[in-house]
Amino acid sequence: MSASCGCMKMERWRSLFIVGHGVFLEMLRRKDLYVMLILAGLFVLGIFGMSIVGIENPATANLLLNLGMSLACFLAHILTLLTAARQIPSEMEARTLYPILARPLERGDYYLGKWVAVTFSGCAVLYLLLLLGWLPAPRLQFYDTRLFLQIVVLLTISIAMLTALTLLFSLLIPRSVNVVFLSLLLIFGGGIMEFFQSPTLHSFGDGARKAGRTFVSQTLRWFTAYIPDFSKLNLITRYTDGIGPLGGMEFLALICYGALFTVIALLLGINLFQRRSL
Amino acid sequence: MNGVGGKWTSWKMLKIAILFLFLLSPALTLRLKPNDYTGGRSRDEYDRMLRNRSAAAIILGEIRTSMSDIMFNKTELYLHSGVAYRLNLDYDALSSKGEVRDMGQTPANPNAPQGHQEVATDKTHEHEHENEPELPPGEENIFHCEGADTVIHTQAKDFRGFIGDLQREVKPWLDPSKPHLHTDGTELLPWYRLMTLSDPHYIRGYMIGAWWLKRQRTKNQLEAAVNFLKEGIRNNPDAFQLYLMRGEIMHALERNQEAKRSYKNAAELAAKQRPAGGKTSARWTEYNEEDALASMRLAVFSEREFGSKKEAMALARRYLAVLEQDAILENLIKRLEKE
Repeated sequence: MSASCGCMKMERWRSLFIVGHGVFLEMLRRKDLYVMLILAGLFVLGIFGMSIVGIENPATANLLLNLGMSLACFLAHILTLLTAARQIPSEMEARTLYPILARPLERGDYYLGKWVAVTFSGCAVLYLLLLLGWLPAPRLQFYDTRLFLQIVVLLTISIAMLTALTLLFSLLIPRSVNVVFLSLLLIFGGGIMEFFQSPTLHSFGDGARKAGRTFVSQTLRWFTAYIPDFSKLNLITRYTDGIGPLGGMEFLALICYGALFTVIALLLGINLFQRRSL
Repeated sequence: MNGVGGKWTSWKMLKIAILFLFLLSPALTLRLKPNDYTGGRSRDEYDRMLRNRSAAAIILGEIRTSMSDIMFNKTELYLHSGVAYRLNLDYDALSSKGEVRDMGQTPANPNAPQGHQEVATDKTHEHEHENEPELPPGEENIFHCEGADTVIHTQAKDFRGFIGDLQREVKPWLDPSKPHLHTDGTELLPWYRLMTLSDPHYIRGYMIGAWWLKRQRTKNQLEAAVNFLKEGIRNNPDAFQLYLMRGEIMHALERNQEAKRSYKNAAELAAKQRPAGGKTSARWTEYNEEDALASMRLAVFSEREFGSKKEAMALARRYLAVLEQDAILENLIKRLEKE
């Protein structure tokens, strides 16, 4: 009985490994990664070119470092988004999902396997691109190493959060809409959220009008906090601005922020995928 | 069986707990603002000027560190009706003295009348472009900046031949030897609004935005400038220049008591922030020093005019001690002593 149970467990892990391996192969086959690497390579070449011509002052070097790191962060997120968005819909369209689910593999495990594999490959790309953006850029001013490490941790969580959200939305909306929607959220989400959450929005007017408006805007403010804000997890400009690292509690709170959205998206996604007719 | 049931129940409980946490999360997450800090190289005017004049910035075009940086560059394009000039306007001078000049081209004329010195002695308290004629909103002011070079070169300097001709035809371009146009600033206002929404700590954005609003000279625009500055002060309570600008606008609105309070706030903050001897550096520029001087002088003058002479005397002595020497305040003290 126990031997058969162990065998089942082994088979389950093997199936999970196959799911993950499939994600890697697919990412390499689709050539998106190479496009990102070529773009990062062009940036590195540009930096070397600028270094030969001469970087006039620390402010310009700072701009280049910021651009390199921001480009790495952006490209890694976009690659993760594109990879995650096609995982389940493509397998359903190509009907390759059925032989996988015929194995002793629960739907929840399949979904989790996809999330782990996409997150892992997204993070690998992020670290590689971050290295390409950070290493060649001249650093002529002081930059805090502790903050750099915080950036790496928070961007890893950001990739995990994006993967979970993309997989969830891939079950609900068409692939292209999913990609466009989450790209907009990734790029403009922070600014839009800041606008809705800023006190400016409810500071005008007077008396009862102002009170009524304040109630509406406070409610709006509360609800916008349910929309994931990726800009909270991106501290690159803080780093290049020469500001110190976050305090322990704030850093922990940001980790919890990303983790909470990731877990919620995963739970909803697994639940939805288990109930869905294939 | 019980074990399986218990496991299932605890899993369900965990899910409910996570959902509950998520529903309550805005109480914490709304307070999480890791990118909300004051200062920083990307907002520093001196660093910004160095970046914008670098070869890298010309290659990168409009790409910059932050949205406020990108929009800041946009305002210059809008001011010049879309024609891209290589040199950036000295926005410090613009917001501080209402003076338009190009950076790095012509040094400030030491004999030219200083905006705030004029203000201190002139009761109208007006700051305007020194060389620009005033035109109604919507019309363009013509203003010639000697030697201002365009990003797209002239035919004589351009090695690209036909491609260069084509670019000069299809892009907004003016021969740099001809007088270039400055719009009246109305088109710039939305950019300053967006700039400060995108970065509420961008003090210069509030200053210049309020300055352009003030320049429209209507009561509504002046009220809008007061609201704009109120927001700026709420986001940057230590920025003495914002209080100074608010004082000027209040004065234009003839709300003299509020103007007096604003000038005093500006002067108190400036006195705290001013380095010993007013020594200028990359962080404390000549414009900071001029604004500090203007804040202290205006605080004393408005106290004398709309408050008590005794208090004005006390303020003048205190600020003179901070400044160490200032002919205007010294003269005023003598006059007050006689009175």
